[in-house]
Amino acid sequence: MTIARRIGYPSTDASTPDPLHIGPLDLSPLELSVDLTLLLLLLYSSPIWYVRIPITILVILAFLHRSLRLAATFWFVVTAIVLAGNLMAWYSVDNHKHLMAYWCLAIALSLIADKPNEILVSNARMLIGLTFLFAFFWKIVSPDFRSGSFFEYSLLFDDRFRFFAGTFGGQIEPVTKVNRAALTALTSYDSQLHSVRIIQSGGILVLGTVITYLSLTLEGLVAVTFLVPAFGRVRVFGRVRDACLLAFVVSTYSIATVVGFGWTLIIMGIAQCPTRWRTTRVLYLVSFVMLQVYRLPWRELLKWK
Amino acid sequence: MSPRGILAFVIRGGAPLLLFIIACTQIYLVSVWSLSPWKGGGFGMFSTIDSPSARFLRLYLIDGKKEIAIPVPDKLRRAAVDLCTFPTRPATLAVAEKIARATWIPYKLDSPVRYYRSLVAAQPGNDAHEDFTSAVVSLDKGSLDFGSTLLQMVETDGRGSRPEDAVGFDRARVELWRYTLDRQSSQLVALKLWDVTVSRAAE
Repeated sequence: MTIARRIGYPSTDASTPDPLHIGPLDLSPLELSVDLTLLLLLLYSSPIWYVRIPITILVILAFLHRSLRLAATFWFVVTAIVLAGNLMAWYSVDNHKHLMAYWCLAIALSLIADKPNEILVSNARMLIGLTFLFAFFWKIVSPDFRSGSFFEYSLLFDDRFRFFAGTFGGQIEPVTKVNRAALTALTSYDSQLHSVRIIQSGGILVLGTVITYLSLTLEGLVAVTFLVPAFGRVRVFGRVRDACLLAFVVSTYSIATVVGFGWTLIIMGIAQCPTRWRTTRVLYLVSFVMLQVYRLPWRELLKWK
Repeated sequence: MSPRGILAFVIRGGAPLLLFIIACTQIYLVSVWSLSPWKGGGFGMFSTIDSPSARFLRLYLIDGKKEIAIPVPDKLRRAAVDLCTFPTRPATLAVAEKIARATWIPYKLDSPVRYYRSLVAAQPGNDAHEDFTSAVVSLDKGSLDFGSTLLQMVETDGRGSRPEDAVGFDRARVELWRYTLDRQSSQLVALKLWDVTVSRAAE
């Protein structure tokens, strides 16, 4: 059986629409995931040259020679390159590069399976579930996360949270300036300091606590809703898992714009979403685009207005 | 399990199993080897202040009882980042030995225009042998005040003479620190993870 038949590629009878008019929603989960993953690899593979250049070449070849997209060998080669790059810099590479490697492996393995779409759905759910399980684990065991210190620190010092700290936490620019000077003084090469005092408003403490519990809840929900159905025949959670994942992606990546990570999660979300749930698939695709919109310099644009 | 069964298992669970193994390995490395939870494939980012950027080095040249703090030189910046991410004793020793082997001289500031003129003047056959060296301002004597001596690392291959203004020292120390936020006292608190001292190699 050819791969085209195994993935349910549209047949070429008279009722088939013109291929040029087949939209993304008409594609099987595997086909759509493959296309989006190629885009992900082209834009966000790795800054390391011995990964980035071969991957870019391979992706271009796959765009030009369409049959490569669904060739298992192609995806095993891509996986090997990405994994090798991760191995060479295993302790410094970002976590989503590891996830991208696992996802490429999942695609490669599904292409040699008898039921590729089914295998891809199962892998996508397990990968999402395990990612969030470990993320939830680290947050639960980390004292400075449980106490709210992590998000307080982020609101005070992480530029990505500056808008939230100012708008909802009452943190003003002169105070931010003093805090950053304090941090610089503590970490300066000639510093003898062991501690520095910082200034934070009551709003920051409250906001830090709220974000802490919200993120714990959301990540825990994603882990549970994606893992539980994967290990049993019980069909629970249905659309709830997609809602949780979309809520996480749309909220988190509006602040921490790590698009590579967000895109990887969205692609896996699309891959495991039943094709008949067109609205959910549309929402995934919209969020795929939204993550790029988030990268616009909104602070500068809004100031200019 | 038959080969067919193993293949079916690998196809269905190979990728998630790989994630699980690497994430569990990362938990071990964080717990035992102080790997930053933000790295290593364990998805611990945004869970703790203890990211690689919340760790920093303090470097010292030691001459008897006198200690001179030095900034991380550009040539060791990558090694310093790796050390902050995955601090091991061998890696710390390696950085300390590079510092101890190098020559350290005071930082000098020079106007780009004067520097260019001095290079032109030094060209063979050039009649304008004006001495521009006096235009170089040493931070030790100049008007810029950092409150401490600013040294730069000069690597030598052992040949040629040592610069006259090279700073003498007999040991180098590398300290690895990390900071955290103490909510109760509203302070950022620095904690030393460890330090390593090496002797300067005999010349």
